Amino acid sequence: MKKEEIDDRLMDALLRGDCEEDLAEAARKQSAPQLRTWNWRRSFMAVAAMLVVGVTVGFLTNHGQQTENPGALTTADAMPSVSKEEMVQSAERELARLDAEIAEQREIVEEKRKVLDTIVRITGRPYFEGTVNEAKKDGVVSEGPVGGGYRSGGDVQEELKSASSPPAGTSQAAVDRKSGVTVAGSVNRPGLVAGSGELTLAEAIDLGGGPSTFGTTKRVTIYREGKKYQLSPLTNSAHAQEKLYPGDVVEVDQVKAWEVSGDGFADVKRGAKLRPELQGRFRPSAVEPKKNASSEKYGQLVDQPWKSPLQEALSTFSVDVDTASYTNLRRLIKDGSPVPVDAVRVEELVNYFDYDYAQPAKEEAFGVGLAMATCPWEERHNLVRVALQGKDVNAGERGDANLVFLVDVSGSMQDSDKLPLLVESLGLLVEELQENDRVSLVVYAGSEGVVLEPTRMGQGGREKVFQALKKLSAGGSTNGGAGIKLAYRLAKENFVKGGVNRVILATDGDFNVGTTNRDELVELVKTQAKDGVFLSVCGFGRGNLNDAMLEAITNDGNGVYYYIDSRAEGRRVFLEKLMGTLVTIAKDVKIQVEFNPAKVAQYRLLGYANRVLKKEDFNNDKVDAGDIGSGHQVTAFYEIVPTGVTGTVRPEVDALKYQNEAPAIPQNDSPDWMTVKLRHKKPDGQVSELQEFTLRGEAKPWREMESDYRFAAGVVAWGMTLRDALPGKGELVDSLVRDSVGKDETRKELLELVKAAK
Amino acid sequence: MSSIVAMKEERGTGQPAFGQVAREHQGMMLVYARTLLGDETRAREVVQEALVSAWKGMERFDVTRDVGAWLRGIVRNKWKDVCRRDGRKLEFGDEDLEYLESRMAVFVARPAVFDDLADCREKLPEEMGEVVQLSYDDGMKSEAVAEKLGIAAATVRKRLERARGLLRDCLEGIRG
Repeated sequence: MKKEEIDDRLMDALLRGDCEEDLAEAARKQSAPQLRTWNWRRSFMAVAAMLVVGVTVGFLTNHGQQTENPGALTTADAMPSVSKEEMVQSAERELARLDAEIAEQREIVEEKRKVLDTIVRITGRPYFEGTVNEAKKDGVVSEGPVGGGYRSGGDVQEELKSASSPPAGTSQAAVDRKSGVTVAGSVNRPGLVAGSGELTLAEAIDLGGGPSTFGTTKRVTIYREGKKYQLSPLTNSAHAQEKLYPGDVVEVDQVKAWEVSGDGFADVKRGAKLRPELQGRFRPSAVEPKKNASSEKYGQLVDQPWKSPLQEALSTFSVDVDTASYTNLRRLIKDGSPVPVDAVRVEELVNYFDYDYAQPAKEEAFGVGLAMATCPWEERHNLVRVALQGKDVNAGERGDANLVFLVDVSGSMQDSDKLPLLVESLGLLVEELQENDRVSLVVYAGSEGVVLEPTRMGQGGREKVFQALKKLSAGGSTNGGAGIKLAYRLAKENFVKGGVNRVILATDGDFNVGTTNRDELVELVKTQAKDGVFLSVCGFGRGNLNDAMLEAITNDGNGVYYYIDSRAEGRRVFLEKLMGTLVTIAKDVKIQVEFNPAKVAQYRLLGYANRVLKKEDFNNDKVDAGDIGSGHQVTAFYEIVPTGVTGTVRPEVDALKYQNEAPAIPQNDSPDWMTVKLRHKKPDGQVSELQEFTLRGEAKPWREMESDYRFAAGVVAWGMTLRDALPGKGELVDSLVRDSVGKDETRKELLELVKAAK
Repeated sequence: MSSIVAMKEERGTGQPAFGQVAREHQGMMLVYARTLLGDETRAREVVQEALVSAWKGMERFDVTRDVGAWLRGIVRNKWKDVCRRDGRKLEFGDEDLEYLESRMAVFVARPAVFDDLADCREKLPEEMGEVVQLSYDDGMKSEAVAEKLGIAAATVRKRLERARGLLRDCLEGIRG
């Protein structure tokens, strides 16, 4: 037998517990006939002797004298002998400890008294003057200029008079308008918030559910007694700690259309034309941008419109395996919050689910499948599915891992759905690592620091990592920039050639690095990815996740972004999808489709609104795109109007009546509908490889397609419905999803969401 | 050792002292028997038989020897008997038994091992503590645990294995 097996059986035997029954008694009974009779007298004497001895020893000990010769007494073995000196010392230690405790309590009381004094001082005076002057003196509140676009105090008050009732679960008694603070603007739960005693600005925003998808706490307005003050809790921790008073109204701002991810607020003047290289990187905004007088469009701000191959034969986009939109959506719907149109990234919804795609051929990084059926929501159209399946790398096949956990431990991480969930999720990951994998832990908050040097999993290392994770506690403000540099340095120093080198950033999105350093950081992430150190970003908590910084880092495709809102999701990301999370099998994956105008009159790409590339970007290896991890799947849909089908799509501009400008439909012999080209780089490669696939044949009736296809189409349709891009198809969406759910739990969950979101 | 002295001195009646010794060591004997046999029922049977023999053979026991080892020796003999009776192969060879004996000395020589084990269990990561509790305290089989937690049965077994390893390290740390 192996030693490990023996040890394991021994541990198993120990874990089954102690012996509860008296086996000796049972044994005695079993041998009863052979036992001598119980000698009562001797037993009594023995017991009496023990009692006497016990009392004597006790007596002697209390009087601080040594007991005599312990060896002679059976029970004396169990009694410690304590000298007088030892007793005095022990008492002194106890007193010292109590003194320390008292001193600590005194300090706490002092602090509380100071705070109370300040409050009395402030609120005792005529409200307005006292607060403003007091606050100004402390330099905490700035009466900054408020530009257009911010609603005036009057509007807000008006809106709030008819505001929603207090958050569910709070009794009216608890939330009295006089004692409550109102949180409004781009938050998840606008309305009165109940606080116990004092509320800080950060707490109030948190109670309001945090900023909604496009809200930001970079600019927060406090309305107080008819005046408004602008604070920046995200960048200024003093502002975040600003105390709020009854009757205050807090308004959380919204990101504006012209603010581009990866660029700072300060750098772009409102209304300015975007630099050409920034176009195409917009985040869709709830506020439609003003169109310029010229025909120049602002990149791909909205969903891809219908296009004709005669005008634009090529459709180019970057793959995306992020699924944050789905998990975010799920949360919004479950919370009963309204779903902003632009929170819905259709491709991320489709890609959240698992499909039965064929594994690629042995040497290939991934396989590509093309399928075409009639379009469920417009049967005269066709719906083409492009499916990528990344190679599955088995646990034993991957190289050794070199992981750096970069953990945000700022004060806002304290909630139960943040740091504790984070520690648990990372713990799941650590548990699955192998002996030679290495983990280090870096924290950032105020200052940054290495909490745990790179530690191998074997020989107790794993336990060390667990302990280090458990010790993490939240406090301090955020200073992410220095932390991420440190994390990368650590990763570089312990680089494993041919292995998995990754920085895993865990944060609640409150990732402040200061505007001037933002570009620098995005560059850092890109450069490191070129050298083979990749980034995963895990968002925790509700609300704060939409920070422009996170988007900037992950949008260029050099990082993968997960949103972990529950233990189940944590398990999914770190256990089931672990290989995909850790191992990148292909970098900078781009797709370019050329449509044959002889067969395709119009086409549109569904989703990937953020991922569109210029046609030159396809062959340009310098342009970054998405990465694919082990086992990842990517699904994209094109809706196609075949030539000869008319009247199904309203054109943007009607055809001219008096001039014939319609080009003739070209004829060619090709049976192809389209050619799909794919470029990718090996994880540590610099030059991309090209693959080509063509689509031929006739569209199958969609009802005859396998459930994966129908389900994915259902998800796309649902996403488009939520974006108001597919009106009146609610029934169809329902049946598409329902009929293809099967036994998959995650798919069933979607069905629930579809029902709930109506 | 003092209990043995008392036992010898009480040889006349024997019962109280023997009872004390037995109670002191029965946990250890049961753990040993479980390791050898795997099966709980058989393990208890073996321990009981061993105690009967111990009682009978107590007078022949040499007081300078280690009681624990002596009792384990008896358990071993009973284990062999039971295996022979049931027609099962002996899973532990001589080398294995020697190794096991050395491990017993580390882990189970003192009765407080179960307290130490409880302390070590506290330190387990929650995921592992969970499966340990369900499997051992609640007596659930891997499949049932897997169903309850929504994970694969194989994951449950792996987790248990890992947990046992951690606990072993921890116990060694306390007593080693």
